[in-house]
Amino acid sequence: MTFGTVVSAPVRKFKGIIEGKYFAWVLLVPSMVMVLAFIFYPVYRGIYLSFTRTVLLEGPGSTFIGLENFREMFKDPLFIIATKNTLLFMVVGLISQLALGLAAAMLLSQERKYIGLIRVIVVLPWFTPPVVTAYMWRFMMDANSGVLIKMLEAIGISFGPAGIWSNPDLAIYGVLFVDLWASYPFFMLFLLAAIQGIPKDMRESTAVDGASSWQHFRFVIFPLIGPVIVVASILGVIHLINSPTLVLLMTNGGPGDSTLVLPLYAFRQAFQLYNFGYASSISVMVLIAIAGFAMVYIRFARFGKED
Amino acid sequence: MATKSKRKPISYHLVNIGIAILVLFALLPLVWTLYTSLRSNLAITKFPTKISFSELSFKAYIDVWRDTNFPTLMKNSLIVSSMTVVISLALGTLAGYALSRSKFRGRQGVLLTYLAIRLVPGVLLLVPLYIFMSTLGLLDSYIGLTLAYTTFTLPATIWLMKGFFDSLPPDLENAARIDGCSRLGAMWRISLPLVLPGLAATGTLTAITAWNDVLFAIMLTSSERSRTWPVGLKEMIGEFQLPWEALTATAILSLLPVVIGFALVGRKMVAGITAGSLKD
Repeated sequence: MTFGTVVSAPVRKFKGIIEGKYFAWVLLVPSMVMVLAFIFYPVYRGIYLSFTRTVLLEGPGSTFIGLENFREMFKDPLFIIATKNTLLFMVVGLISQLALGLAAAMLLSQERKYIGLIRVIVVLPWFTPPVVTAYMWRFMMDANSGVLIKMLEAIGISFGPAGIWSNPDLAIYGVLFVDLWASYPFFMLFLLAAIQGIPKDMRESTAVDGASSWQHFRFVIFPLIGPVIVVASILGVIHLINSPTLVLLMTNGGPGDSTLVLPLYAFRQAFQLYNFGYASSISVMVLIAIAGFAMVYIRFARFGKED
Repeated sequence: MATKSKRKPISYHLVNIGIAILVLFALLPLVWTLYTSLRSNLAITKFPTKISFSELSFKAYIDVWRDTNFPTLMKNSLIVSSMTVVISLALGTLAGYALSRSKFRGRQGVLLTYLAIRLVPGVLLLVPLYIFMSTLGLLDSYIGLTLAYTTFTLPATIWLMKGFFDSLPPDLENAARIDGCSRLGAMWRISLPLVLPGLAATGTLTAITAWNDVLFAIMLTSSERSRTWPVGLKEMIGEFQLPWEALTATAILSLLPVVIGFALVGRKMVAGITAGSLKD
């Protein structure tokens, strides 16, 4: 990799910088400027705002108030509800998406005709615009005319006159189901790639030793794809927590506050109440929670090895 | 059970059934949406549902295209998505190439930083970006929205392009360099053409990300000047109680570019996503 130093003809100074040992940095600078200006600076500003009282409706200025927002947060009943909902959303979402993703990856790792095409089709929901996903499923799960509800009613499963979306106990599971449809392909993709990385003759060896399919999965495949499950889970949880889009579009937190999740609450504080300071504090809490989860999860799964 | 037979066992057929269920699960909602968009409102709300193909028409599509501002919103989305692709690919390819080909000090740190950006919640970025954009006078403009999208597409692009460059052997570039090509020249003339499928896949993924976004667009746009289709659709539903066939027709229209892009480079895209995140 050091051919750059081998060919060091006396070139002009400017060219020397580009071609010399700063080559990599010259290529990196444009993207770094973007990242600094539009990610690092906003994140820094966001963290700063979380320590201020900044309400746009009260004027443009902001007052430094230290930890006041965070203190208020723990007395805020809506924050408590949103935290509970977020936890439920995260746990049920992760388990359901991981389970279906793993099952799908096992199925799609088999060799079949057109399997390449099938794999792409199965991933399509993940790329479907959330707006389309949200309204499509709301329509199909509509209490009055939803085809899915009618079909379930036909086989004796009824959700009552309120349906799913107006029932505070069911709405969050409705969104979770839709999120399962949209997001499990992500887990499937990762796990499929990992399973395909396992040599095929491994199954033949364990078969000779008399292992059942389940034993082969439990003692060979599962440990081998373990690290990938960890990585996929972290990325999946980040996605589950960070993107309130489906909740925003499907229930907007309702009925009542039964589907209010933290990022949605922050969004509401910011762009309905223009309480930028408090919204930033909630966002900072979300960031801390995610980073904490990632660290604990990695340690728990003993994945902190080098490379 | 213990030995692998040459005949097809029951499990072979069970797998087939499982795969069929997965395909139906993915496609049926979309097919039903397509079917609904071609029916009349009267038929949609009548029960029991009778599936018939004689009454289908493109009326809802024509109505949406002619009587709403949806074409304008799609045009806005198209422009913003294209601009996002151009910026992300231009900057991301350079950075991805550097991270793939040069082993400089701080490389691991840069890579980790671009990975860690995924942890940042969109809502944490949104408020400061909103203030930032309003100071710069970029609210409700193509460029403002583009820059906002670049915050999450650029790190992904860098990782993906790094992965695609990693899979190219460096020998070809070395040969070109011996023949007197500069490093940038070797990248431009040798590596870039070879990585073109990867570039197309990354570009499509970026375009879909920008095309699909709702959250940033709600915030950073306020008029038809730059409003994108997802926001438009959301508002149409809120304001006018859009009839189902019109709603589904707009959904299918906006899904169309995604499906086309996906059909062209979906496989490469999928390969890039997993490869990029599993290594390092």
